[in-house]
Amino acid sequence: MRKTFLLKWAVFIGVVLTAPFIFEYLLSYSLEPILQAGFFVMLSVSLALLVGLAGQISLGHAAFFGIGAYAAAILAVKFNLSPFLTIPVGTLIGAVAGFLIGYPVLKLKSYYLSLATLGVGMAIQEFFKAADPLTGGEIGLYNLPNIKLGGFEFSSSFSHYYIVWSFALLTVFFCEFLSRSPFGSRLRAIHSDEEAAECVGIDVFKTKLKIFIFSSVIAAFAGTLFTHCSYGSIEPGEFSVTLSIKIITMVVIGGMYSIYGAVIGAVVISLLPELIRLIGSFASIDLTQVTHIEDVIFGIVLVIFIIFTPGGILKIRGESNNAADKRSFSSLRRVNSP
Amino acid sequence: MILDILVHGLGWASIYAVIAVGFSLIFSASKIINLAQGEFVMLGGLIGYTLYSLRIPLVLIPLFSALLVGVVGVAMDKLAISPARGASATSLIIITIAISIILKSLAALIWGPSSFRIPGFFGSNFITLYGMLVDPQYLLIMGVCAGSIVTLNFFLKSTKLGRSLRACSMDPVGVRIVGVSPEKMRMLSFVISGGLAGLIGALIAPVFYASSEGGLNLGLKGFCAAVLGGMGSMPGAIAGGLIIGLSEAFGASVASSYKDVIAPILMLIVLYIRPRGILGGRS
Repeated sequence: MRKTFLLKWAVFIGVVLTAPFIFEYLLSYSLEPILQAGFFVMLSVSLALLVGLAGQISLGHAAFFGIGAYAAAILAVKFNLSPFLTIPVGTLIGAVAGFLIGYPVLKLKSYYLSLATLGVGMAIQEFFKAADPLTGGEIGLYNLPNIKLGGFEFSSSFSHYYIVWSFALLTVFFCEFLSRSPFGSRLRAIHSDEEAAECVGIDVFKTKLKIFIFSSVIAAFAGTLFTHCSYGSIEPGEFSVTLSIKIITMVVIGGMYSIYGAVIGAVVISLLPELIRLIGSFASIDLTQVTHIEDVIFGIVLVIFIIFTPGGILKIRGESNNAADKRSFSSLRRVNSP
Repeated sequence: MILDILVHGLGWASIYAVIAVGFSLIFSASKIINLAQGEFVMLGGLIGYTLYSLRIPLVLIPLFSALLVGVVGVAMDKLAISPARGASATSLIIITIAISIILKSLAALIWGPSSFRIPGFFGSNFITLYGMLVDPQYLLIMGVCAGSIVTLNFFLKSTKLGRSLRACSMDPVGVRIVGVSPEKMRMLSFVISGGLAGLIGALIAPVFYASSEGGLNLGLKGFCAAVLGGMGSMPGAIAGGLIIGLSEAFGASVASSYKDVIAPILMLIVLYIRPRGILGGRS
């Protein structure tokens, strides 16, 4: 067990360390996609804890990513603070937002929860667009500073890549640790049966709120890094409902319940557009159309995965909440058919 | 000034109400929340434009649009919803979002990013109403919206088919016993919702233009209206549409940049206080 664990991580770290060299020198390709994959890994892993482990859906995860990114960017641009302050403060603001949103929203269940989180995601994105003097409106904020340490400025995509991925690895490690801890078991208990969990003395609401805040904190932290280690600009369109759905897709592809699966899902989904672009350039497809083709394929992948993942996405290993429902349905179908 | 806001608010309100009715209809037949509803409206407008460029008479365009988008609704039901039998409510919501992404991108591939306009059905002349200029298309939109909601209500309350459709949401096992197929009813609800959306999409294209980008916003507003009024309730959908349309119109006259924040915020407040919506039934 211990040996396979170490081996897994050795391979994982090895791949992360060598990937930029393969991309840059072997494929002479931009580092942008694998850099973005680092952010996606943090987002999908944090959502996997909430959706996969605790069974609480969130269709507004991009909002917390956006809150972190905007908090850090506003502090850096409007108040001239260094990234060493904007990153922790932005993450803290993410925690506060997680509490303020999670507290009312987590009282809802099943699709009311998905509707409410979707509404939160929409409202926050609209707020980014509307609060012009603070957020720069539709254009967003630009000229965001890089992280500087001593005299060295982390400005190349190589340095961005290593900063983002070292935090991504830490996040994955910590989330895996959390999912194996007693707290993780409590989350699984809530997922399989809330009333039973309550009966064995788990404070269901408090535990749900804790994991909601935790996953918002990671998303907000990823957002602050996105501000300082990415394009150097942010705009409201980047934190849309579509991004939330992309993150859900990564978790779905990863098989919902596994942290490592969420990592693989994140990497696959963030490299998918590059693959399409590559095929597109061979098949001489109009490259301006690539984003649309990408979205069509992405939508189809999502539908196929949900249809062929037994019991849908919110169930533990095919054990479905409405198994009784299904049974009664299939028996009725037998009655109906001659 | 107030009157002007009121007329525009009512115009939007009737559009939101029809979209919300589409949400509610599918929900009452199958407990599915179809977030692709806005893309149906968008498709209605774009198909309407294509029909217009094929020189089909203006009066027939909304009808053909309704028909074609109804077919898209059936296709969606057959290809994506029906195979996902037994999936959880949330999985189905995610499927409908995926469909909306697919429809939007396909539309962008086919029609490109530009906005299209169909000429107004009464020409471009404005009429004077209580001393202000009103586009007659606005009145047509309101009239058709009201008319289609009344017709739909009659269908649901007073015909056997309509009553079977409503029964599906109350007891999916029970309706099977009395010989109604929930699958067929779900398909019917997708046809009607798609048709309604196609009709309204073609009707609003002269005023608000049709573009592949336009669906999401309309869909989200209509969705907020449906949740606000209570999913599955027809009077609720109308009330939700009115509340959102009017509060947006008045909100926009106060702080126009925050106009799009109003609908989701209203929805969240109602979800928190009364998850089943203002006019939704009890659990």
